[in-house]
Formats: sequence, C-alpha cells, structure tokens
Amino acid sequence: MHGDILALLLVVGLGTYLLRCLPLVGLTRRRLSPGIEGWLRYVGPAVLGALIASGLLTPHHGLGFSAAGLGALLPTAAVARLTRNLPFATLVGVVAYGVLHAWLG
Amino acid sequence: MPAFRPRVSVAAREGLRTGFSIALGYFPVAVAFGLAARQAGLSAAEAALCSLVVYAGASQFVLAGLLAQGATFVAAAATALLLNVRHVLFGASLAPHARRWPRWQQAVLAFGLTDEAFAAASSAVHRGFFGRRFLGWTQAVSYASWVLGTLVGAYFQQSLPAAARDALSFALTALFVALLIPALKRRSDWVAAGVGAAVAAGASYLGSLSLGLFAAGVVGASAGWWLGRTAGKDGEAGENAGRRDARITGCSHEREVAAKS
Repeated sequence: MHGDILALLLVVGLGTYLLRCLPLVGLTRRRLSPGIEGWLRYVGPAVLGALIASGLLTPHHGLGFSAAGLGALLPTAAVARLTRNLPFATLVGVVAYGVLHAWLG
Repeated sequence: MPAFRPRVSVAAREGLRTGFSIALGYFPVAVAFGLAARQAGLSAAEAALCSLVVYAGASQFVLAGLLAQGATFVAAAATALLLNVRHVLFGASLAPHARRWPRWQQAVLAFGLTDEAFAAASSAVHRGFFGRRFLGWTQAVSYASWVLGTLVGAYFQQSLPAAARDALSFALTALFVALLIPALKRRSDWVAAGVGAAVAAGASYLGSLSLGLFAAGVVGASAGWWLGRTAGKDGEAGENAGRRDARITGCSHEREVAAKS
C-alpha cells in the first residue's frame, strides 16, 4: 500500500468523521432554542426530497429525469404508504424500476 | 400464564430491517466503487480501506476519480471533504434526540451517519422509535454491506449481471421514498421535501449536486419551518398524526425507552 494514498485516506476519513461527530456531540450538551430545534426537525424531509430528486436525475442531461425512475416512484410510494414496510417497499421499487428500465430502454 | 415475549426490542428489530433495506442499495453501489477504485489504480486493500475509514459514497468515487487523474494530495482531500460538508447538518439535526446518550456512544454512532443512515434516523424520529439500538443496528448492517460490496467489486469486478445492476441502481432512491412517505405528516413536511428536491435539481443542473444537497437541506428546512410557524393549527395536526402513526406502527417513544432500560 502506498504511503501517500494511506495518508490521504486517513485524512479524508478523519475529516469526514469530524464533520459527522462534532455537531452531534457538541450540540447535545447545550439546549438549543425552540426555533432552531423546530428548524432542525425539517432537515430530514428536505434532505430526503433532495436525495430522491438527485436519484431521479439522469446524468449529463441537464434537468432530464429518468422515466423508469419516475414510473417506479408511484408503486414505491404506494407500498410505503399502505404497508409502512421499508424492505418490501424498497424491493417493490427495485423490481418496478428493473421492469420499466428493461421496457423503456 | 403470561405470554412469551422475545427480548428483541422494537428499536433493534426496526434497526435491522432498516439496515437490510439500506444494504440492498449499498451493496451494488459498493461493488461499483470497488470496481472504480481498481480501475483508478488502487489495490483491493486500498479500496477496502477507503470504505472502512472514509465510508462516504460520493466522496469515495470522487477520490478514486481524482487519484486516477493524478490530483495532488491537497486537492483530492479538499474536494472529498467539501463533498461531505452537508454531514454537519445531520449531526446537528439528531443532537436534540441524542442528549441522554453517553458521549462515547454519540462519538461511535456519529461515524456511520451517512446520507442513508441519517435519512433512516430522521424517519425514525418522526415515527417515534429513534434510539441508540435503532441507529446502531441500522449502521452495523449498512456498514458491513458497504465494506463487503467494496471487496466483492475489487476482487470479482463484473460478476453481477447487467440487468441486476440496472435494477439495483434504483434501490437507494426507492429506499429514500419509503423513508420519506411515512415522515410526511404535515403540509410543512411536504413543502420542506418539495423545496429540497427543487433546490437539488437546480444545483444538479448547475453542476454542483453535493453542495446542492447541503443547500437543499438548509433552504428546504427553512421553507418547511416557516410554513409550520405561520400555519396555526399545523403543529397540532402534526402531533395528532404522530400519535396516529405510532399506533399504526406499534411503536412509541415510551416503548423505545422501556426497551433500552
């Protein structure tokens, strides 16, 4: 293993860990204002919405969306809504996407 | 006679289920990373070490790409870390729910706070069963699948059939949808998710998706928070929805606390 690559991986690993750890450990020791706690409550839905959008975008096509991805959203959301079963809903989404991707090309 | 009740807590069971769902998405992506790392000139051991210590999909792919292009140490490290700045929001968002955890447990569980683990944790907070056991099991299964997938990709490379790779490429998006839907209890939640999606799409169009995810978190959360504040009865409706949801899922914060004790 090259020493410079090892050092790079350790630096990026440590930096990434600190970005995750410091806010969690630091902010649990101080009481946040209700306004900030209320705002933080919405970070989850906002990031999830962003991650879904980024997963549906087709690479290198401006604002193009994957037709198979958009088509697979509905059964995934419906199963998640009706069953609240995470693995099952994920599996339905994967199968729906696989079928639509093979069909639409 | 009292009924036999297995001593697996609701939180641990939900954590395992969530972890396996994430693993379904992680594994093929990790295989692709293992393959990309080898093509970039890393050894299988270096690829595995990258997944073991960095454990952040996007920046790992970028690192492999930069190394393949012969980027300098500083440029590669700075770019990879810049991609992970959004993780600051994750710890801050979960901190109010982790106050009673020992500090060493906060430090350990922070390691695995990836996009997907945070998404699962955020959904669990909204559904009332977030806790150390939930997060620990979710992260353990996810991390194992990420490292294992990297090794498979690094050693066996193109062994997965193309059709399976195509289908599994949607697994993480499907997982995010399955996590988001139960968390949408208030109109302001929908607005936060919608604005977050729009900002991410715009950022992607401008060519900066990773920073766009950070911006989407900030702008989307601000939009949802603003609407939640201005809509008078919204909070009350959300509280009721939360209680309804806890009944549907059979989980509650109280049960989580009891299970942990």
